Amino acid sequence: MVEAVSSFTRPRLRINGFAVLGFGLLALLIICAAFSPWLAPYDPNAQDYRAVLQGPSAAHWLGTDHTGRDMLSRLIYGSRVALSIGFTAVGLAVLLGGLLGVVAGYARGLVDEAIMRVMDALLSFPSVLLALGIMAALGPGVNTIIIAIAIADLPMFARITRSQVLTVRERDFVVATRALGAGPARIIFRHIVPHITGPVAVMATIQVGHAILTEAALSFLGLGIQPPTASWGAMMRNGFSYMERAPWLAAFTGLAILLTVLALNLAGDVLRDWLDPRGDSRR
Amino acid sequence: MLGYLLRRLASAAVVVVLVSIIAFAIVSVLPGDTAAALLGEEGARNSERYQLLRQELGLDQPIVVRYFTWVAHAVTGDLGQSLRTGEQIGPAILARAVPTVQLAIMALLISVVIAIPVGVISSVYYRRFPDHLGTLFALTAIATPGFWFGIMLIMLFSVTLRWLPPSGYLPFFQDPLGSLQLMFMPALALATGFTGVLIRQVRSSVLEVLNEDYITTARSKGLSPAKVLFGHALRNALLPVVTLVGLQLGALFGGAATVETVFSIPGLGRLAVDSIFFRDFTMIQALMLVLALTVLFASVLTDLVYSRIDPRIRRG
Repeated sequence: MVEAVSSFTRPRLRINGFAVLGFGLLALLIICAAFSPWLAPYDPNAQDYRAVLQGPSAAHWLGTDHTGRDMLSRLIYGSRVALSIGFTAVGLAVLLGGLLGVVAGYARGLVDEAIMRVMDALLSFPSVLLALGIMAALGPGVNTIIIAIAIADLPMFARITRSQVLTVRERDFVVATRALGAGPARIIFRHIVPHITGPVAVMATIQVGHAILTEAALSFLGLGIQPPTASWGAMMRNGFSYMERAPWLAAFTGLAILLTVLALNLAGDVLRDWLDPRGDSRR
Repeated sequence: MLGYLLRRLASAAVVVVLVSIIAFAIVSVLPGDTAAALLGEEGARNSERYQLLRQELGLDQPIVVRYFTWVAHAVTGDLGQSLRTGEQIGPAILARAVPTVQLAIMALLISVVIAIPVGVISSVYYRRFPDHLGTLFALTAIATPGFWFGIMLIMLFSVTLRWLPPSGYLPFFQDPLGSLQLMFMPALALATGFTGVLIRQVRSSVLEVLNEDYITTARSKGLSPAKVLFGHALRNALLPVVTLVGLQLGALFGGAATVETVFSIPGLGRLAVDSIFFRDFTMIQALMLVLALTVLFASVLTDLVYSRIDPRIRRG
């Protein structure tokens, strides 16, 4: 009934439906974000008061909002905001969290205790609430939302790098290198970092999706990206207030978010599969 | 066991102190201060009254002194007064916790009812079509913004079909049926992410257990597959699932902020959002403290329960 897990020993890239779906969607999104000006049929902020709150039509495939702006164009431009915030925030969290995790795991002792207890404390705050508080303190805007999400995500990356460092540093090849007289910097960058990039990359991919959900939630609450920037969360806020007259506004915006996060989750899963072929990918 | 317990509690105590510092620090850097918020923009320009009130509130003290004053009061349960409504914060938070707790419990129940069958089917049909379908379902659930799902539910069940009231809140003990009816859509909306995570957890822990020797033994002594699955495998596989609830509590609180906004539920999430909009400094500070401590408490409890069941953890 259950295949023996050990039967997958040789690393190989299994191209399955999930891989095609995940990376296909992700590629499509990146193209949308990179080439927005060429792909969007209209200017995302061009108002047209003769075409207000129109349903999907040949002229406006996904309809128009309360000021006659083209939804498809706004969604395409919104992918820029979502992806750039997601990748930058997680990138920051990986760098800072990774650094803290490596230092904690390598130094151990009191340094490790101090760093990890602060991470535990940050992890105790519900991430949306922590981000809300930071946004309120720093004021709304793209940069603060990136900082807020990065701080909320920091502890996770610190934890995963630390635990990886703790395992790798006791492996024979690291012990041998140390015995040969290599200093900590050399050991960390030449031997430990390459070994931990896999699990961190998997987690980062999935966290980008999570960051996009958090951004959408903050902007939906009115504390994130401010209008008129075409951000998916702010568009959802607008769609919510026109829920009865123009249901397509919220519907399409949510679908865009859902497909983006799904693509990132699928990609993360497939990556894990490729990096650790012995384990079951979808645990 | 006692040694582990003490170590775990000691490190939790350190984290509690750090949590209170973070909550205090975030609110301290918020633009404006309590005195300005109380007086309003007009009043704050009257510098004499403003300075007087600052003195009265102790805002002219150094930040370290203010922190210790706040903590000293908080320890006795006195979290101060809301700047917006003037009510005592402790009782106000308790009152707003009731709808959120009901919402969270309903969401957890919905998640469990969906996730256990889907996760078990996925693991039994490992890497076959039903498993792929289950995994895609789980990933889609994780990717679904709960508040958006809530809006879609309102459009379908309230606007189009007119089966359920779109929003509002009724206390459970006042009108149980009406309350359940009103809370059904918000609970479903809040359940999305957790359901997805839970399906994956159930699937992987059943898979793991199915590879254990005692399952092979149970099978080889001739037990039917159903007996092996439900009598042996499922019971042991559900253990990690219990811990997931403790770990996901924070995510549930976070989700409550948007879901309660969509459905106009006067819960903690809504309170947090409103407090930030109205610059209710004392309330934000207290809420951050209380919610973080609740999450921390849940995770310590989870650890302790787990170490009681699995002695290997204590040595770690």
